[in-house]
Amino acid sequence: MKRYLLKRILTGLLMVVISVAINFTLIRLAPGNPVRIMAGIDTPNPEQIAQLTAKYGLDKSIPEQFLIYLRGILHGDFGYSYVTHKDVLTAIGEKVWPTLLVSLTGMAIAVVLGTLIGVRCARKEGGLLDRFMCAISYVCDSTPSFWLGLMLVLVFASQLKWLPTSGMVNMRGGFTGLAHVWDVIVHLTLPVITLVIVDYPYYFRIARSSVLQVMSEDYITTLRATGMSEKRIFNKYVLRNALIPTVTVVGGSLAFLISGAVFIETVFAWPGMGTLLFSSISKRDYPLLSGIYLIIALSVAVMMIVVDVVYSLIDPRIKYTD
Amino acid sequence: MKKKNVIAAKLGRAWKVIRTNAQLRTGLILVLILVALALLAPVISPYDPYKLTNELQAPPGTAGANGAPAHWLGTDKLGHDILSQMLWGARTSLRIGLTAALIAAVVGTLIGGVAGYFGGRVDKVIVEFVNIFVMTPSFFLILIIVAIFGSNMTYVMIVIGLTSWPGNARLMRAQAISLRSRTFIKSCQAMGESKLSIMFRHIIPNGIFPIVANTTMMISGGILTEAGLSFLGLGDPNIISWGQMINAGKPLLTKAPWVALVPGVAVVITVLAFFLIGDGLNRVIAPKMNANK
Repeated sequence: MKRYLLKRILTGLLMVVISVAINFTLIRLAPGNPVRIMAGIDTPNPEQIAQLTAKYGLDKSIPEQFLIYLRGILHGDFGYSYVTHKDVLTAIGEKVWPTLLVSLTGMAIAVVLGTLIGVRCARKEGGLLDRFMCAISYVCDSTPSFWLGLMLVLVFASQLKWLPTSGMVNMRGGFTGLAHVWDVIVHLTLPVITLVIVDYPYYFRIARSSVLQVMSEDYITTLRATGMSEKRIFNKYVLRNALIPTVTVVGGSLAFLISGAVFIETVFAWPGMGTLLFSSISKRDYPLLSGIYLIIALSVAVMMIVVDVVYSLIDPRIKYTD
Repeated sequence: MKKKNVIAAKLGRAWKVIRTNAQLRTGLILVLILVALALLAPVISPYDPYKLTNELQAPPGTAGANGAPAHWLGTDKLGHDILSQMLWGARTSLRIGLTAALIAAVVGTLIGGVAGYFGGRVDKVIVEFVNIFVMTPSFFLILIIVAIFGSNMTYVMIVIGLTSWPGNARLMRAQAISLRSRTFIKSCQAMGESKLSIMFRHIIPNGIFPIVANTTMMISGGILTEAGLSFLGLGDPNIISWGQMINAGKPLLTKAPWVALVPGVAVVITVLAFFLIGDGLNRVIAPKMNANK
């Protein structure tokens, strides 16, 4: 196990470095240049451009720039955002919490709801609820989140006026304490509902099919033959085995959580990573873009390893060797 | 003569599968209708999709001026007829979905086939390579590439295709590994057929079915991705697409909700259609999972 883990961490690191290198190169190969934007459009001064280029190290070759970047990261220096004039980590840190708030809440509800309905449908396979939920989940799966968000805004915010259309807080409210918390919750409702509707089918289907699969295993038939009560078989043997796939996919989704909410953030003008990503693309903010990508790649790599470990903890049949 | 019988038998079997598989049947009917509408767009569109009519933000059913055809689905802010734009937009969605999925299918099949059949060191390197690809947040990558390099439709198709092949590669690799130990492959090897020829003539044709199912699902993914990019304002400005129509409808949401509503419904139906076909095919492959007959 220890050796396996060490190997996984090493390959994980290698993957992060490679994918960040690809991204680093890609961004710099693109047309458009941050120095031009910084120098201004009206009177681009060649001397100033040369000076800025040298200041940010953009006159060096791409491999050289990448090595300097890596060395910086090892010292905890992720670079300095050209546009927001902040340390990259600070700039990301400001925006990451709103994103995590909306996507974690949405995902938690989607996982619980999807799994509960999935397990229930599998127990009454082919019943009315099962058939209804299967049909609905196809439609939810096919719905683009941004469009669903717009439609929910149209109904619940514009027409019924129950909920705010966008933003994270009421700018004119200036609430503090509990009133502030309530304000955020009110603003959070529509984005979270959108996320839940779009995401729950995934967990629903996995829970449903894995319960069905476990129930058809031979050992369940054997337990039935021994005369054990159906309820006990289900709670003690089926459920535990059937939830393993859910754990895996939850881990996988957690990994992509930071980058996953671009659409929801755009529709609801949520001040998160999506907005940050967008502005850094349009202004060619190289360090910030690389920083966001690095954080995402790192979180993916870490989550993959965590999932593996959790996996072996909940299912003792799984043993890792190399 | 004998070959003819085999084909007839295969067609008969396919027909029986379609008849008994509700998902497949519904999906195929929907896709046929969509393809027909897209192909007939130049004939049946009441207006030129780019034409700026004088009826601005007209609600669905508004009559056209001077005896021109009615705007059955209304018009947008600039007076474009929405029905005509919808029909032309169907072409964009189908083209992007199909091309992207096809690129992913070809790349995935080749890479997965080589890894699974050749095995050994080749396999190890390819598996690690695929793992790196799986770990890259692909939509994020697509976003950066399209935003920075330009939103030409060809780019969008190629980029979507080149970022979504790993699933296919994994499927094909598993297929190749299970096929390569079968007797008929062993006999081909014994007869001295070259490795590449065995891969293309036996491994890939015999193992392609799961990739076909997955590719159909990927058409849905491609259509959704294109709609998403267009919604973010990164669509090709020279074409008509449903995502761009939704984007155009966003600021008009309260005044003219149909502008965003109609293309969204079309996206849902199209994605659903391909999704149903893919799911239906998967049920054919694994009849055990065929839960709701």
